Amino acid sequence: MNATSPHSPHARWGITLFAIYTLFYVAYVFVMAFIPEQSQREWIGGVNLAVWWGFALIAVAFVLAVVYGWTCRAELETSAYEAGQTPGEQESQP
Amino acid sequence: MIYEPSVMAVSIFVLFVLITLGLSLYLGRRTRSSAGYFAAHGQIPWWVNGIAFAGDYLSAASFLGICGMIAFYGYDGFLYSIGFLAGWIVALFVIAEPMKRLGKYTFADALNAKFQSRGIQLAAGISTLIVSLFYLIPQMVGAGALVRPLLGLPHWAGVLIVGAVVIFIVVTAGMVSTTWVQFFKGSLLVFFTAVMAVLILARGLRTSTGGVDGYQFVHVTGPAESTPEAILQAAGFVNPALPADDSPWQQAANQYVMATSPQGHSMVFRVERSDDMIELRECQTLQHRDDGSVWVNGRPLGEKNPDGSINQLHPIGHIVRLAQDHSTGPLGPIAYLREIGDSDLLLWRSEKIPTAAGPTTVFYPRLTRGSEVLSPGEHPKFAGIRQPGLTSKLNFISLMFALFCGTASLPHILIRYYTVRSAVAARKSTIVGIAAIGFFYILTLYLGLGAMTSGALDPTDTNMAAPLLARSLNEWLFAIISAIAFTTVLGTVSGLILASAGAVAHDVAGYFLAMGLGEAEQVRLAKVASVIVGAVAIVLGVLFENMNVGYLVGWAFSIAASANLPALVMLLFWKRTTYQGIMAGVLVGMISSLGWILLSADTFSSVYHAPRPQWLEVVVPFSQPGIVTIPLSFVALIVVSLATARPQPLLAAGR
Repeated sequence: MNATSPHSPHARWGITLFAIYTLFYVAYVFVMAFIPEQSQREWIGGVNLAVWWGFALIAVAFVLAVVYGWTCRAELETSAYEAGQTPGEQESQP
Repeated sequence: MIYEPSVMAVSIFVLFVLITLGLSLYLGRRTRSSAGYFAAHGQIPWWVNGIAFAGDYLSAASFLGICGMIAFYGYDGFLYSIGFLAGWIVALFVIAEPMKRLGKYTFADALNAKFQSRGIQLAAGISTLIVSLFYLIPQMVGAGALVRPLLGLPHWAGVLIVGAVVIFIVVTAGMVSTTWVQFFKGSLLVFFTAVMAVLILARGLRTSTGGVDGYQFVHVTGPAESTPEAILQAAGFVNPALPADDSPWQQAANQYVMATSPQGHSMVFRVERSDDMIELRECQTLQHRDDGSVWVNGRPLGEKNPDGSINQLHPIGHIVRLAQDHSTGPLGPIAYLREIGDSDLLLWRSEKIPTAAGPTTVFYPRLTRGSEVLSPGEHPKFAGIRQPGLTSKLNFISLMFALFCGTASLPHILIRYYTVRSAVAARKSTIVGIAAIGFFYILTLYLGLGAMTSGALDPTDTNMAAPLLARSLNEWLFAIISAIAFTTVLGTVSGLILASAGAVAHDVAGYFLAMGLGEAEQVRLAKVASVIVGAVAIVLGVLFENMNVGYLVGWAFSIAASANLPALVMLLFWKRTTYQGIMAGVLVGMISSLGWILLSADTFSSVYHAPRPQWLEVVVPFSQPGIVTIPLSFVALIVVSLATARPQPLLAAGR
């Protein structure tokens, strides 16, 4: 199976991370739209929930991206080893 | 406001433009083939591509539009930052690697990889053109907004300069130079935005009664049982009077009272009544008279004041009360937000009044609590969030849905996946892009709030908040930020025009019309297309002058998400997708979202400047189309795919 096929293990891992983030995002939109008074509630450091959640959505996107990159890296190293290549060789394939 | 160009600002600006053009000419010498022109031979290092993603994506909408919207409306502008960044999750986890694996030069290549259909190539090519044009409008509007304070030139001149320079870049070099221009500007934009954020925190917050020009706005109060006229008379104003019964001022949304200052100037005050007092806050007026003259605050624009200054609108944006003191001194990033949340600010709004001498815009201050500034619903278009009922909230939900789905559907972003060597490099460059873009979007909240409290805002133009904030911090910074913002526009517009040129030369002429063009001819046709698209963009940039660029980009996201995302997702994840289904999905998504936008209340009020027919209230009840048109595109694709599926072979059917 091609490493970038939508059915490959790391593509499935990508879909899982995507689902996690989507839930986090949908929850944010729901709270802002339907319980807006909650968004004004003070939270950590005296800053309200809306600001913290916004920052978290940006930060979590980066964290999940790094996790995904790290996971795929391990997978590529494994597949490269099985194929008798170095990871660098595999990456340089056009 | 009237802007005086400074020699330093103009010099730095010219230097940046010359570096950009030099880079373009140098890199353009080696570009002869289609692979080089459209995809930089797939040889861009992943980390350069990642920053170029940031350079491509952080457009005028991000820098000028979001900062401006936060500066005038608070958290509502930050909603765009969140949505724009969240969309990269779709790009990374779902789209990036298959795009690289399936395509060659354009987004349509990937969509058509399985079917080799001329219809798909045409539909996707048209979709690319329309999305790119809608995305180009705010970039050009942003360019026009930038040159006014920087060079003292009118809006149309800025649009023309950007159009000409970008056409030059794209025609001379294609994707190689575009990538390096985007890398150059992406790096500088993120770095200097961080510098600005540090300076904003170091400056802290302080209360004031006016803006950076030193003018102090009048605010008088009196007991609730008094009258506005009596309160003004007691404060020394002459001939205070409420508008006559037949005056158009009586039809205004706010109550105003007119008076003459002790110095003999006509003044307008907005009346605010509460249970125990009447407050009168000074407004500003801008009147375009029927004889062609422009009057500001009751006198001709540009007339000399007794102190030697000229008569113009005063800059705005200040805090009237802080939680503890009149000044905070330097603040940390959390303390800054907490102080804003605990403060009271004056946010300025405007309304148009059709007076006898000509249309008059009244800019009036409104006392707003900091806690409201830091939560959604302050912008009129998102006010529904704070109202009961589902319909009033749909505009917000629809926008957030479109932003989430839109990033991974933007043709000028998608073609950047072809400039790297492999699917792995595509993924790595996306992660670098998310890091740079995410960091920038967190900073936008500080830039916007910094501008909101800078006393430097132009009440007539939300798009100029970031450059004017920079000028309030430091003249050098203003020059550098303006030049970077200008290259920001150049970088994004280059990518958009290149995507459009690819759609015309590669998708439509090369594939759909099967013109049998050679490599050199295809590149030549793409260059001609670049000139035409650039010219159209210039015209649209002039026509849409007064709209917030962030809001305009929201439309482009809605069209891209409706037309492109369903087709891409279903192609990857649903085996029964047919080429007819793909075409139906693209066309239904594109036409329905475009139609929705053109018939929306926002377009009637901001673009057509005409009343909207009553029946449209039922058909298009809110302005953002995504929540309707994205599912509609999915449904069209599924229904048509099922209807056009070929019968299974007997052998397979018997299993």
